[in-house]
Amino acid sequence: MAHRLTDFKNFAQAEIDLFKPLTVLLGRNGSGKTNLIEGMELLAALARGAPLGEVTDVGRGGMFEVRGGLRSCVRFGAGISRLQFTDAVIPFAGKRESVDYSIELALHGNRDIRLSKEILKIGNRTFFKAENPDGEFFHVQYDNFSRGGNPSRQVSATRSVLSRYEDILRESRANGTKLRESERAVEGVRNHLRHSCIFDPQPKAMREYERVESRPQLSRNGGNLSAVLFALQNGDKAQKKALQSITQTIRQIPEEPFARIGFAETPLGDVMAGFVPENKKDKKRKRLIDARLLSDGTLRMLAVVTALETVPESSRIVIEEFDNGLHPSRARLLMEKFAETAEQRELNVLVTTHNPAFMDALGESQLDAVLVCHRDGSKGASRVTRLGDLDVTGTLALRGGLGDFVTRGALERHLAPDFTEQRKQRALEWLESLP
Amino acid sequence: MRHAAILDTSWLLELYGVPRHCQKARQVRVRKETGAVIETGGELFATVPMLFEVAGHITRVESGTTRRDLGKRLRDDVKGSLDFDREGPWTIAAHDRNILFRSKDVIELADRFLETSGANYSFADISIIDLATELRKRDRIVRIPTFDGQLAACSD
Repeated sequence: MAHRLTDFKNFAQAEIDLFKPLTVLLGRNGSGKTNLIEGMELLAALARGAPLGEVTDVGRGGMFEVRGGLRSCVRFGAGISRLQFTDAVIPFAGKRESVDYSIELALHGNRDIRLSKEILKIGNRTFFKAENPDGEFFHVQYDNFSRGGNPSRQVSATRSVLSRYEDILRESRANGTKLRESERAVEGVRNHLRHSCIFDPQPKAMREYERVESRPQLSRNGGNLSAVLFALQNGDKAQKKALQSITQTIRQIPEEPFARIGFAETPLGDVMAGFVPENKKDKKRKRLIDARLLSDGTLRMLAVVTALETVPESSRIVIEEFDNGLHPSRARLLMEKFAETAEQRELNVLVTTHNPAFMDALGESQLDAVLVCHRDGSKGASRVTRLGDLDVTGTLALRGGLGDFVTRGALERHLAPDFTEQRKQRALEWLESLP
Repeated sequence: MRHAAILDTSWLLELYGVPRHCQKARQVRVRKETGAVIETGGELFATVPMLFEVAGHITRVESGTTRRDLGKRLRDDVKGSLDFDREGPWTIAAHDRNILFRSKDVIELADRFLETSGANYSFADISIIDLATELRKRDRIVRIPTFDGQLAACSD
């Protein structure tokens, strides 16, 4: 399954499979890692029906925020940006059929961005094709699974057709059985295009008392971490098990010897999480070491592990630069936790990192899940390249590991368009130099 | 499909011109064929057991000066091949990437040595055959330039 972006932000073309247990995105600052994530999330938001007017710049209070607003989504000089979801397989009419869904954003005039085209194909059937020639309305031609030509309708182009598919079909004289099957298939497509749970843990926000809730979701910045952990402690068997797993992971940090996660509670029902020291006989260390006293790195790690354990099963999690402030020694521990939890809970974890220690902790099989965002000077755009395509994965450990490969700038050299030619010249020079 | 050539012990000995392991006529042929591989975009690979064998042959060179020169060349090439800053002439790849660090991999190699004892393969030969298999999995057309008929038969 793949998400494809065409002329989106600084990408001319980009492809990413977000359905692996773990995907690691590398790249220098400004190489497009966040743009890539925004592209996937924008596609998900549009597919689920976010009105175009609610897609705003960061901090402008829209339902979906994208850096630079909608105008920044269409690559400079391109005019049209296409977001596509393809290569997925879903059940339809007793068969497993491939899906190809795309939606286009077009620059209208100098400033306005409109939804200009949208197509859904399942198997060899075009479920619908919508075009917006005047900027206001989609002319939707759709398959009603009945004899005769495909009917058409006009709907406003403020939201995706995919999100309103059932409404459009309901008015047609469609074949009943096929209609229900097609609705299920479209729901399947929307499920594939689900939103990610995005985390950007901010330790500063975790050092406050939080109001107790019964089943809180960890917030993007982890600000309600204490309330989430408290709810796990007082929750059902599965929640208690999740807290146990979080505790076990954090206890593996050698510099944090503690017995369990504890809480300071106020009469108003607010809580702050902390660690209860291991040595209970030592009175000086008996009291709770609350979140205000914990290091940024520890809180960040606690939030990441809590996120993994508390998002709904089969969720997609995105953690940008998850290892900011984390000591390199914890990278391997987190790596193992990502792999283990993603498998157990069927999660799709996408992380971005600059941490060489984390890169070195990746096993050989995980190197195939590493994607590199980089600038392609010849095209004046960013690109995404699978590390496996660079043909270095088999020798990385011998040569110092992925971390070393990246920090020494060798990754960029391998990505250079003339790398193969340069290597050939070096080999020929070596041959010439032999006595 | 990209091309790859895995250097065999006898081949590298010829390229280096190691006394008693090289003949002028063969050396010309070896350099010509290696040059042809490189010209067609083929990447050169070397395995760690093969390098051990080459080093072993160099230690038996009688002239101290030649031994030192060959040792320096081998050291420079190995260093260059493992150093990301220099990107040497060939890529060093063991039959398993961690062979230098994990005893388990040496045991695996010894197991394979026993399995193939009927074919009279050395550790170096086995490492070359296994690397060829790995490279094929990565969509490479693999060539093993060698004077050993058995190994040559493992080329694509």
